[in-house]
Amino acid sequence: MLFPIRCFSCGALIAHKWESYQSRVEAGEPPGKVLDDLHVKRYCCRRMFISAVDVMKEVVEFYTKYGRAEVGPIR
Amino acid sequence: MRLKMVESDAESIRLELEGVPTSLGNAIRRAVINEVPCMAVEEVLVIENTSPLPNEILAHRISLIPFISDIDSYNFPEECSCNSRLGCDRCVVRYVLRAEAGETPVTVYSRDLIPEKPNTKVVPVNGDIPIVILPPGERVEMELYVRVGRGMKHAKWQAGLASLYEEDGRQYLYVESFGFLPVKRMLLEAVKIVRRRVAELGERLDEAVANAK
Repeated sequence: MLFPIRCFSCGALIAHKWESYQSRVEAGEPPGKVLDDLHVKRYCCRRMFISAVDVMKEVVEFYTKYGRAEVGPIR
Repeated sequence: MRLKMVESDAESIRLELEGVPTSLGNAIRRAVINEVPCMAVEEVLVIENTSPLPNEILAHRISLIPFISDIDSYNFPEECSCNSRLGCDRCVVRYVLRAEAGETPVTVYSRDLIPEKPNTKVVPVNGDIPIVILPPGERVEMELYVRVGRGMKHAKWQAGLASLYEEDGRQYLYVESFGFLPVKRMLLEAVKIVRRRVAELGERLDEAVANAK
């Protein structure tokens, strides 16, 4: 759901680079260049970024609108 | 036997190994990955969690955060003289995570982990790691126990990565630290472990030979 904290293959810490990667790519920069800038050099770590789908945003939106199922609308 | 530093920066070193047996290089590589002690959250006490993530997933995410490891002043919990399951000042660092979202969603970062002792040297390597996003009105409250461990027990304690490879007939060892320990310290720690293991093996063999006679 959220971006993984470490790379699945090599175990390097990657999560701290996620937010700047995401905002820069959304602003229109090419992902490859952003990853080079962030010093993500191994392809195991790079694929973590380019293949990530951030579902959390939608989950948060859902919670905001409808609240948790068992509790009902947020008190 | 000769070691030459080809390149190095803040988190990685590349060594050229000359006349070093591959087996020794490989032993060092394995020690870096598996055996260098470092610190991560081992136990989590969930007091409240109404976030979209279930307790165990949240605990797992938190446990993967590397902490700057003060392995000189902290013991392995199983080797500590306190013999306590909860641990003492010499084997555990306590942290508290408390966060609540008001009207807008709140992202909880690793910088929001509050140590019980404000002057502790054991802190998250980076403060910008997103742990969870709290939708409006939801909250988390948990107590975290940071302990020393080794990569062989759980990958969260993997201090760094190392690879041994050959290029143009030369042998290289590339080591990178994940931030728990400075790279040089991590490599030295690995070498110390290999040396201790070899000595132990020698002793055991001597014992076995003596017993067989």
